[in-house]
Amino acid sequence: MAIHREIYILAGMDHPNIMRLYEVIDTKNHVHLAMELCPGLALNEFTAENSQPVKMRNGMKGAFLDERLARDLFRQIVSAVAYVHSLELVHRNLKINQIIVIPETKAIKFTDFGFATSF
Amino acid sequence: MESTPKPNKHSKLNEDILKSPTTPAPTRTSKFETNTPTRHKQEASVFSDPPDNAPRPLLSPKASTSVAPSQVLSDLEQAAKRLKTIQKQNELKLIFIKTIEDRKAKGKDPVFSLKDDFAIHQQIGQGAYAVIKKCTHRDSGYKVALKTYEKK
Repeated sequence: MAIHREIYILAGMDHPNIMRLYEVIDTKNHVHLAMELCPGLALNEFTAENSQPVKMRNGMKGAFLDERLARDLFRQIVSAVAYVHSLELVHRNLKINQIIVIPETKAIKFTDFGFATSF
Repeated sequence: MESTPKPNKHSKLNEDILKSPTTPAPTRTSKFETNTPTRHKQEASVFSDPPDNAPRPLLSPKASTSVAPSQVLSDLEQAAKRLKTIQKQNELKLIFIKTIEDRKAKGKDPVFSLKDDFAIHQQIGQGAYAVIKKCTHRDSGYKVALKTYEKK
């Protein structure tokens, strides 16, 4: 079952850029996971909001994030991926919708470890 | 070497190469020659400002006019508010984690019961298998995301 796998994997993780699992509450018909609340936007929405349109020399139009912001976000993403791989685990469903950015602190959170396995 | 009888192509080339350092190629050097003195002149004009004049302002007038001081103040206040909320959340988080650890140490097997410990609010998100709702822990006030799977 995907639930058991997710619980088993998330319980062993402790990283600032991965959504933390506090407790599992088991009831008759449901399984509840009490997790860290991450009020924020998905990465694609965040980048769409914060990028500035720029005209390039060859006439192409583009939108760019601030370089410092982009560097900071990418550092966090890479560190989280490195942490997951260091535990011999793979996320397997990592895409732009699954990564959440909290706009106040510019912190990144990985979510949805339902497909993750060990390798 | 000068008395070689055979007039090769290479010998001519060699002569050209030998001559070349004394008479450099015309186009490039001319460009550099025209550029360099003007640069020096500009730098000289910048640095040769008379020092006995009034001291220059630290901020140029453009920079001071572009951002109003009231706006800077409001931005700072907002940043301070954000910091306070983050600090509060962190304190509540610590309390929440402490309660979990205490209850585990006492030997409570189901650490929380849904009805007693959490107040469930609106739905935040929905996945393929799960529904995510916002909750608050009643003792500490810490907000938690509750992901519920249905058992089959």
